[in-house]
Amino acid sequence: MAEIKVLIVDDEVEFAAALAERLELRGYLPGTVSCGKDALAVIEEAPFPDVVLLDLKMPDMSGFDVLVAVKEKDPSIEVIMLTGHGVASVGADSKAKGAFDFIMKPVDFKELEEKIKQAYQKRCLGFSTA
Amino acid sequence: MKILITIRENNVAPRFDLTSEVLIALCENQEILGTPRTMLMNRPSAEDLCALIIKEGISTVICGGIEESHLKYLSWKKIQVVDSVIGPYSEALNAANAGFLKAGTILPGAKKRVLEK
Repeated sequence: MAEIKVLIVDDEVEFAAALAERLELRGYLPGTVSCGKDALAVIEEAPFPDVVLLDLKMPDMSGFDVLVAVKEKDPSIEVIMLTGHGVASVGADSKAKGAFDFIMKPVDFKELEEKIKQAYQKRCLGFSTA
Repeated sequence: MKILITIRENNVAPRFDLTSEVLIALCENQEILGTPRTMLMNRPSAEDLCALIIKEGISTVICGGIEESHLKYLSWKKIQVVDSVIGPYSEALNAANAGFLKAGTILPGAKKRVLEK
């Protein structure tokens, strides 16, 4: 599988750094930003990330607002929402707004990695059928 | 036996309250069942970590330094805590699985690293 570019958007810097380190060890190309504005700035630049891991609660913007902005910019970028404040409706709301999936913190790394791979495959299929 | 090890990079995390990653392994008859899971905490927090330990039904916690209040809480919940362990978490897991890991153990991998420096 090609190197998957993953952008981690989370204001919990230790979490983002630990996740980036784990992903890098597995051969991914991770990047981290700590707020929604920085995430959108990164998305403006090429090359785009393949998958965005997006925290729901951030100080400057809601994860949902960032999700909508990312999808407006490039609908083929897949977004996986992350939250430590899980309620059932968040998952449904995320998917309704275009997220690929939703995952609860603490994050089981294996489960997250599976979702990243699935999201990347979906993005690749989108490219091939476009 | 369900073991949780607080980790940092390849080692047992030096402080329980500053841990952002844990390894969870299931052991039976001195065998590690399946592949251990890595969990990433939302933020370093001893309280969140204790909650995860209870939720996961952990029987043994292996960690570095831990505050007495959290040690007492986990012991009260009948969870065995092997603290002040120093060294690679893979060695800690194997030693715990073999039944000879004790509080305060400095694992061979840690000693080797010190000697290399």
